Amino acid sequence: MAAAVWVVVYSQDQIRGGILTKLCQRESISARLENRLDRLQKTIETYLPQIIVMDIKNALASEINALKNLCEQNKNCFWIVIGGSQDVTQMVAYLHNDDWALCVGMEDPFNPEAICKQIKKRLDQQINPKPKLKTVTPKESSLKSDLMRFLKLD
Amino acid sequence: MERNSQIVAMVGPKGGVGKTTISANLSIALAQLGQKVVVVDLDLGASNLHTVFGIRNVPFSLTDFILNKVPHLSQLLLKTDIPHLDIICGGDIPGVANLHYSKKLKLIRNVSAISCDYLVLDLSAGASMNVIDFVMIAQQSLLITTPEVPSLLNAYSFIKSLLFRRLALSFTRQKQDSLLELMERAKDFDAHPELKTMQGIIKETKRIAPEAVVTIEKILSGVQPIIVVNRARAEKDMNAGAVIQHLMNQYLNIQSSLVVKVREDDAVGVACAKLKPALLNAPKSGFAKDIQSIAGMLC
Repeated sequence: MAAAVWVVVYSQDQIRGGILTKLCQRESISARLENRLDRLQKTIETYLPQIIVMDIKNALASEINALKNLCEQNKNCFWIVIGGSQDVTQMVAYLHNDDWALCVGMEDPFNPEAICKQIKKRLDQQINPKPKLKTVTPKESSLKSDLMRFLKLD
Repeated sequence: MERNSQIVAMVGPKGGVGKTTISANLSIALAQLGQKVVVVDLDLGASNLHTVFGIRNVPFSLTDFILNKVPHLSQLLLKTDIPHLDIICGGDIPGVANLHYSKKLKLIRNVSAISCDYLVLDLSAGASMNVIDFVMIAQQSLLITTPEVPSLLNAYSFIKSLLFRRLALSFTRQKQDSLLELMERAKDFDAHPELKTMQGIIKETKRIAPEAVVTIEKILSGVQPIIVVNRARAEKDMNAGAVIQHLMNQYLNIQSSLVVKVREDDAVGVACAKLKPALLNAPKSGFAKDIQSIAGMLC
C-alpha cells in the first residue's frame, strides 16, 4: 500500500517547491512535490491528500486553467494558492465564485514558514488528521472482478 | 513553413461513448489555446463530426479524396468559425468503411502530411485494422470510455488488439516466424493460459528469441493512452478508469497511462440539439472545464 501523503506541493519551481516540501517534512508533515500537471493529478488520485499547495507564480494560462479544473474535481481538498499578487487574487476569486471556499491565497514574497503555518493550522482543525487513503482499491472492487471474468483473466 | 503535427487519435472502441463530441470540443479548446488545429472525421461510413459544428452544407469531404477527385487531403480543409481550427469532413460512400489496403495507406500518408500544431483524428468505433492503423500514426491516443462494463471491456480489448498488431508487424519485419506463431497461440489463452498476460508472452519470448524482448518492451513503452472516462457522474465512475488502468498495467504491461474524467453534463445534450459545440454554447459548464483541462494537459 502506498505511504500516506497529507500535503502535495505543486510548483514548476523546484527550489520554491523543494523548500516548502522539506519544511513540511521537517515539521513531520508527510509532503510530496510535483512539478508536472499529469503527475499532480495522479498523485491526488492515489493519495487523496488533505491539502494541495499550488504555486502559480509565472504559470501559463493553460496551466492555470488545468489547475482550476483540478480544484473543481477535488473540492474535498484544501487548496493553498501561492504566487504573484494578481494571480493569487484572481485564482482565489475564481474558486470562491464557484460556491466553495476551501482555499486560501498567499501572495509573494515567498514565505515558506507562513505557508507551513497555514498547513499545520488546517491539519490541526481536522478531527482526525490522518489522510484518507483511496478506499476503493481495484482488489475490492466488484467492477474489477466483473471485468476480469468477462476478459477471462481470472 | 511545414510544421510537425502532434497527432492525437480519439479512440472509443464502443459506439456512443462520446468520441465525436469530445473530438470536436477538444479541438476547439486546443484552438482557443492558440494552437493551429485540424480535426479529421475518420469515422468512415458513419461520419457526423460536421454536425457537431453545425455545418449543414458540406462543400467537400473525404469522399472526394477516396474517389480520386482531389489528389491531396489538404485540399479538403474547411475553415470553421473558430479561429485556428479547420475540419476535414468525413465521407459516407458505400463501402468506405472497408477501404482497400492501398487506399488506406494513401489516406494515412496524406493524413500524416497535414501541417498544423495538433491533428485530431476522430476514429470509428470497433477495433478494425483501419482504426488500429490510424492509432499507430498518432503520438498520443485518448481512449474514451464510459464507466460501464461493456465500454470498459471494449477499451481493454482495443489496447490488446493494438499491442498484438504492433508486435505482429514488428515480428513480420524481423522475419521472426516463431514469435508470430507465439502471438497466434497467445490469442487462444484457453488453450495456452500461460500466455494470458504480456508477462507470460515475454517469458516465452525470452526462451524462443531472447533478443526480441527489447523490441517488445520498446513497443509496450510506446503505448501510453490517456484513459478518458466520459459521462462520469460520481467519484466511483473515476474509479472505473483506475480499474481499467490497473488491468492494463497488470495484464498488458502498460506501465503508465493517465486517467481523466469528463463529467456528465446536460449542457452537452442542449448544445447537440442546437447543433453547436458545447464548449461554445456553454463555456462555463463542467463539461467545458473538463475538456479545457485535457487540452491544457496536451499542450
